[in-house]
Amino acid sequence: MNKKTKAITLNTLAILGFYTLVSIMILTGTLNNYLSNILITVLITIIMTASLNVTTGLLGQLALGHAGFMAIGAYTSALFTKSMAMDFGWSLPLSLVLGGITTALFGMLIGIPALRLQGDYLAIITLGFGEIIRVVIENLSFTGGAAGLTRITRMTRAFSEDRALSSAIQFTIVFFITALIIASIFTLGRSRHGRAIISIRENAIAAEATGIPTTRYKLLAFTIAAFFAGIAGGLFAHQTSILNAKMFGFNKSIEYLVMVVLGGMGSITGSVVASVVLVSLPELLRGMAEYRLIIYSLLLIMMMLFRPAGLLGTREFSMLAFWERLEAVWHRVFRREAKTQMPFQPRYDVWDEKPVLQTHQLGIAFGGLKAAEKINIELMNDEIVGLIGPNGAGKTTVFNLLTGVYAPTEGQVILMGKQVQGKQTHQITVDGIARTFQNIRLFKSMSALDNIKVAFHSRMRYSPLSAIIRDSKCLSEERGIDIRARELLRVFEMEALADVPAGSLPYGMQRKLEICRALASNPKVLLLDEPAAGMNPSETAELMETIKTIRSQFSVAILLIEHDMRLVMGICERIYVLNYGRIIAHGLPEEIRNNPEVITAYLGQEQAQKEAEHAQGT
Amino acid sequence: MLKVHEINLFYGAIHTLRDISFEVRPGEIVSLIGANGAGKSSILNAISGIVPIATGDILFEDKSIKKLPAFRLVGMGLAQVPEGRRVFARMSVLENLEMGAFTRQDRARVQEDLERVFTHFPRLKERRRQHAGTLSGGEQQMLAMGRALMSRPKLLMMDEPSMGLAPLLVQEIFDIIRQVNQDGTTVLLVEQNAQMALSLAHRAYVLETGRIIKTGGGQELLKDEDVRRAYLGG
Amino acid sequence: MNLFLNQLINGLHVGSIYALIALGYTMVYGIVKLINFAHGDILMIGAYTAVVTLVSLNWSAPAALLAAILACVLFGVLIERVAYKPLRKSPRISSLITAIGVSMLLQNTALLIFGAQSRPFPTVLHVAPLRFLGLQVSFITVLTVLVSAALMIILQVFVKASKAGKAMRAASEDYNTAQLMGINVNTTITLTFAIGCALAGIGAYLYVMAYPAVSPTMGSLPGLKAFIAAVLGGIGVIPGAMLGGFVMGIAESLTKAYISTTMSDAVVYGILILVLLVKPTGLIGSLSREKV
Repeated sequence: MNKKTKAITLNTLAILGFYTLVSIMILTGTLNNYLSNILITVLITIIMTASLNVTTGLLGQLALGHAGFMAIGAYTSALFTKSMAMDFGWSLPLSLVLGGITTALFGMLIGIPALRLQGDYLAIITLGFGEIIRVVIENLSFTGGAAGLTRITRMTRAFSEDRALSSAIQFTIVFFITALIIASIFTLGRSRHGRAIISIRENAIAAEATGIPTTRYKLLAFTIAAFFAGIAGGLFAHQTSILNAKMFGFNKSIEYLVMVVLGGMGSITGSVVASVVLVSLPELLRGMAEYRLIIYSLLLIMMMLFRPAGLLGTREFSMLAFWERLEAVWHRVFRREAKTQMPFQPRYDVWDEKPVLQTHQLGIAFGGLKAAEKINIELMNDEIVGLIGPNGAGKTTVFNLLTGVYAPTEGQVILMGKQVQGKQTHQITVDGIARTFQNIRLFKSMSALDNIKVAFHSRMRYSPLSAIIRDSKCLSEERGIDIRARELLRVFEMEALADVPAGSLPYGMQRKLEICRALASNPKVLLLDEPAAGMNPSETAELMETIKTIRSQFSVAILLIEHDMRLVMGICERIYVLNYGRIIAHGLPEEIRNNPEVITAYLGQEQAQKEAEHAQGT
Repeated sequence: MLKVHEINLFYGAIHTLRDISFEVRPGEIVSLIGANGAGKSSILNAISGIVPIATGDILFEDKSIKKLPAFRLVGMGLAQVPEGRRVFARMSVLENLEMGAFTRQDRARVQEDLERVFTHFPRLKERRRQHAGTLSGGEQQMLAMGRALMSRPKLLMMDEPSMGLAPLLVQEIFDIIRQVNQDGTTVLLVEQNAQMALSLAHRAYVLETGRIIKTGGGQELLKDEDVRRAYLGG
Repeated sequence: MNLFLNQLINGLHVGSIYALIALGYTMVYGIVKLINFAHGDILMIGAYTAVVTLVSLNWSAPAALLAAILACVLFGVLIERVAYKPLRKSPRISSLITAIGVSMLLQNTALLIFGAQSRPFPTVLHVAPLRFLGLQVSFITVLTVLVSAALMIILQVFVKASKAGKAMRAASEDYNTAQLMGINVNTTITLTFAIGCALAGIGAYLYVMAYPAVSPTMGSLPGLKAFIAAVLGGIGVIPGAMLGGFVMGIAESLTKAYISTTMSDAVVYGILILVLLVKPTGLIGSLSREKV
């Protein structure tokens, strides 16, 4: 038995051991009703915080109405078991699923409009919805109104005459549901879907431009969180037997949020630890009655002052490693060798004669102000074309029009013969236009490798469900992109940096990584927005080589915005000049260099002369 | 005027500046050039007190300023044009300029300086009621410079003034730097565009991975083989 | 018709109190981007100070008002320095949680000192209600509306035109650059908290004049509503807080009169959600879209 397998066995045994020990203690009465009740509360709280961590930690959206979701689950589930003349052993699991699904539906319903908003505004909306849910429940008659819902079957009584036995069954159910939910949040978080959700937290604009349908993924995260909260609610209802809308107020939502932050945003194990601590702490302080909450709040403030990132930050316990090891054993035992799937070849579509990218009279007006108009650009296969012009001439606006960040008010964008204007950014990226940004937009806290992997998202197929159970489809695709992503890094001589968080790479490397990420989405056209900004001439020279390599190795057409004339004149085969939102000149570098209009508007006499000298010298 | 003496600076565990010493004499334009990540901006941020230095000392007109909070320096005659311009986007152009003169009490002369800034940058006068966020990159750079000049600094520190600007504007900005210097303001310039920075500078320092590796007159360094190879692209 | 007008006036009354509190939220949010959850509890501190000085110490009404304002400012500044300032460079959510902690601490300390029983607030103004157009309007209502409108205007002028106000706006955009201008950012932030809390002190006094009961948790609800009002109007915008407060107050009192008392919260939140969906930055918030 090697070290790895030993560790797994130990870990598994620890969990099972914990379960067995607690069960025995409940059965023998060592853990009295009071304590086992607290234990159940801890477990339910773990589900609540872990699920809230999906929206707040992974997706990065502050949600202030999570208790509202719990309420929906609780009431749905309780009403179901109360009204169904069914054996509790059947009706409970059914009611939990039903509660989860109903809540997920509500989550989606609320999410669709709410997710148009960002940051604190979204937080306020969730607060509003949470409160509305509470008030509405309070005012409906079938939910028992303000008096609440009573006489819900208790799990501690329902399963057996013997209370101890019934309690032990309750513990078993809640424990394994919790374990299942935690495990699935884990696996989901490590899949392509998890990466997509985290990339939105890191930089929503870049995520969209990398081919992530951000709205859909925000909604997915919201729905998943709601689903789990609904299940937690169902368990809660059958733990307490009494429901009252006041139990699910704003303060309850805040309580869960506090736990998420205290544990560490994005750390699921942190959520678990914080739930355990914060549920038991008030119980431990029970002796000091009136000082209890004062101590509690002081501790909270101290915690934040001394550990602002929470107990665990974004770190996870060895659970992560543990999970991988568990998988390895699983495969060894069942001999389920997953294949490595490599569906990620570059595009081979031949597109020689006609332009890859073409615009017709493209333009946009912001409230009457024409930021760009009558833009006609053509890009042939494998061409490097420059887009230059004074600051504020509308160069980046053109990029935004091409990539769907702005919907053009006139004209067309034709990519490989198909119109793409009006499509969403992520669709256009999938169709074949990738870009970089003027001020670098990487997913900073993700590793360089994961940054690349996010861009492979649109070419992967496995579903969220596959991600949760980590079936062979999921594993083979993941293995495939791991190889591909590393290959790509190797081309840019960045393999050694694969595991470094993108945000801590040096500036030049960040620029390179951003280009690398753009290429990973398999574009036919690559748009580079001031790639040489902040680089000195020798770094710029290096960049020129890189750009040439990209063109030859990846067979893409490149359109670049740049002020560095040495770069523009050095590698561009053709140049478009933009001024006041219109193209004022177009031609070969030497034509542009000598164009009087370009000289007065952009180059300046001196620069033009220098360029001419430079050209003669070489 | 400004003496930087053996300063060391750390960002977390990274040793960004190692024993940096240099000086700026009254009336000079001094340029700091070097690759990305060499620590050029860190030097400016250390001088203006935005990041604290670990060891060493910084003297401005023979007074140590290393312990002074950033907001005290403007009043002493030290102004900075930050990297990336950093104009106050939701304030008008005029208000931005007024912020530059925040510490000054002499109203009449502030008005004078405002006129002077407007003669340097006529575009700003045209747009003085506009929100600074609506200006183009070049205009914002002008505004950031004008704002710094409004404090009537003895020493003007500029961080990458040419970044992201069209060639014509780069030329214009450098012309204005020269003019400002001729009007009597000492300039410390950090710049990627080594060609421009050196041709403008009386003296320059070359930085590499947090150390000064070379120093000399601007024209002299412009001809230096190593410098040409490393920073001027051959 | 009279009922409607009366409700409208009631709404204006409570709305202008929300507005005063909302101004504090909005100013603090504007400069430190923190939803100061403890702001409602500052209101509670003001109310307790007023009731203790008036009843137990027998101070005059204006003196009690002054004491309330001072207590609020003192606590506000103290909280900022001790609890929020060390976290200025941490993730924003950490300060949010700290604010929640401070709020709990204030409430529970008050509970310990004053007990859960609410204290009555004595009548301080003995002025006959005003009558016009067949309506009867209490003097307190008129006073409240006028005072908060006046304060809003003064504050707006202060922020737009005064040097300290401009320093606030500059600091709210960029701390480092503001420092380069010679602005002492710490002082500016402290000043912002002080002003916001002074307004909360006045708001507290007006609030207990209208609802004369002082209790440890009295700040939570008006605090939350005022915050909603600030967002509704457009957070960070001073006239927005005022407008938001009025809309909230009127919506609330009309719902209570015509629909249902218990549903009024739901209606108010519903309005908030609708407004944000149509205009994501609030009624008169300016749209600041991220530049790509």
